[in-house]
Amino acid sequence: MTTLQSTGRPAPETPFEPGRTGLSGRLRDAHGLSLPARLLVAAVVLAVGWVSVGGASSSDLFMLTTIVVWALIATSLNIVVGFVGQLALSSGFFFALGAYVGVLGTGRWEWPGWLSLLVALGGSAVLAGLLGMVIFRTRALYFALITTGVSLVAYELSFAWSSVTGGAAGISTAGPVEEGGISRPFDLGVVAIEEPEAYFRLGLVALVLLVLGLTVVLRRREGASWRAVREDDALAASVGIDVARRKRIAYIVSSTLIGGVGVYYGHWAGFITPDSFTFADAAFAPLAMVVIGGSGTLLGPILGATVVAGFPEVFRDLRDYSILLYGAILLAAMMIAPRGIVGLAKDGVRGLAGRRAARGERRATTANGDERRD
Amino acid sequence: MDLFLQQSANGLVLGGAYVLVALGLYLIFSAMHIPNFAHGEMFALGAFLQYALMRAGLPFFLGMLVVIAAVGLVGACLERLVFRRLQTVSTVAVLVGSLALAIVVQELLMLAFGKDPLAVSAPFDGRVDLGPIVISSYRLFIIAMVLVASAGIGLLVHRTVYGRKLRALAQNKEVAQLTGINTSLIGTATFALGSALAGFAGALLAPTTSIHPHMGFQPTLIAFVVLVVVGAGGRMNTVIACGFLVAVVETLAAGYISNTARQIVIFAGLVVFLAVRPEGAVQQASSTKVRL
Repeated sequence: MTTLQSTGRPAPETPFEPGRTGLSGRLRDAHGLSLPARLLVAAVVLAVGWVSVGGASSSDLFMLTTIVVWALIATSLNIVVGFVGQLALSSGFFFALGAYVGVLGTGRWEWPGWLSLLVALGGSAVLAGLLGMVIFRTRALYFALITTGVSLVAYELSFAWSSVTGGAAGISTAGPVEEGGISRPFDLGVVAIEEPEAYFRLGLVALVLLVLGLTVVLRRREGASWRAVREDDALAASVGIDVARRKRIAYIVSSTLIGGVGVYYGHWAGFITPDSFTFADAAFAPLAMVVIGGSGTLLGPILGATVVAGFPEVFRDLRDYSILLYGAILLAAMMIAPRGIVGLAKDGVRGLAGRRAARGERRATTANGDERRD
Repeated sequence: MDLFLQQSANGLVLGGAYVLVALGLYLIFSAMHIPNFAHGEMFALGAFLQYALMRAGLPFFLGMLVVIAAVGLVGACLERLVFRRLQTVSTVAVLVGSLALAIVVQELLMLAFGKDPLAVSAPFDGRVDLGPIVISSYRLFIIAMVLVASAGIGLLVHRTVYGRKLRALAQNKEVAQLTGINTSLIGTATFALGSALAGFAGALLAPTTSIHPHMGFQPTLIAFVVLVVVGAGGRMNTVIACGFLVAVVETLAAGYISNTARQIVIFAGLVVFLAVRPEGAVQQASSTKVRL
């Protein structure tokens, strides 16, 4: 179980010292930051984000919302990739499914937005459940490949099934493309989202809620079982964890969330074509975000999404070289820092803390004999 | 019926590319357990190099020999510089890292040769009339070359000292090392051999396709499909048969349904197949780790 502890949570290596008083004692618990502290961080992030987009230019807003969309997808994907350790590449399928249901719901069938959202969530859950019965019979490389196949089929279908998806020409929330018209608002029942600021705020709220929800789940039995399956599924099974069921549940949760993000994305973009759902963009990029940021951490996917989605903007002047740089950085990250940005940062912090602790320990052992060890 | 035969013949030509790419991938994966998602980029590199060498005035077949050597060398360098490091990290690192490597190679090719598709002319013309179907003689030559090359690899793996060492490495790396085999060298050589095969496929197929930086993606995917469908217990002849079969199914789907259906048919088939037989077609005997 020590391996579980050592890689499971952000900074569990920092020993929890019950005797420690003061601010740092109240802010930290066995899982890293304590829940009230996390709520505080969430509230601050939300407030800052909410207020600061008020005067943002439309290009900045576009950029920020793009990052939020990918952060939502990467965070959802991280459930199955990072916490359960299954290399799922099927996010493209559920993202496309949600986006098409959302856009068709509003544009063609004139459903309210919340109904499209419910249909997309339900549809994703059912399909993920059905797929989950099949795909978890395979493992490792075979699993990666079968989920790749799922994403590729979705991409090809969005071209081929042109009577519904509009084919390569795409489809918009204003109905068929050839009729033109402006995109319709995302009607959530209580509020109708229309302005770019509102979309960003909605996405930010969803992201904060998602991360908080995950924080809670990870502290409970389900989250602990996920990590046990990731570390050693034979060992997990031997202590009574239903491994297949845990994998399926994580996969359904992850895929359903991605389907929901698809609905949000479809409304925000207002217009989608199959090009939004290529294997590289909709299946591989989210995985890259999770891995670059740090898989199995809460902050990692968000950092990864910021890096990968923000990349083209930062390196706009390099136009022709920007994808090359993206590939090169990803490759270098895999070779040098396989645990991602968060892993790097943690190693750095632990290096510092280790040196400080070594100094403190020498002082403590001379003062009183009994020293609490991890 | 004529359409069926014609499409099957086209499928066999396409299958030539898949078979060679899949064989190389199979060797690398069996011997070193590296799922190299950048393998198809060696195919693309082969085609681009063939184009460049022919532009430089080299005759087709001389150019092809240079391409085989060059791509093999690139493979050896990649194994030493990239995969050796990635492998010590984790399987996920190899997977994501090799996909990243694929992006890097694609972008480098695009910077070097531009975005527009390129074409290479075949070294000889002429058509062969085989009753209901007509096939260009270069395409027949491709099929023949693929079979010859496959037989050559079979001989290399099963009838030479290198092959025996390779099979030992595939079976059990530690034991192979204990018997005094230089597994590091054999690994690099195998990676070079697999890459050279893909490069050879690229050069060979260059006159039949349009050459563009993303041309390696499809062969990589199909090669992995073949690998997975064949299963861990499969041998090389199964890989060859399966490569041709997948290509024929793909071209038939393109001919009878629509061009966009080819990918759907292949991957829907894969999902259904793995649902029924998650271990692949040929199951591994529990006593053997890997068969070559």
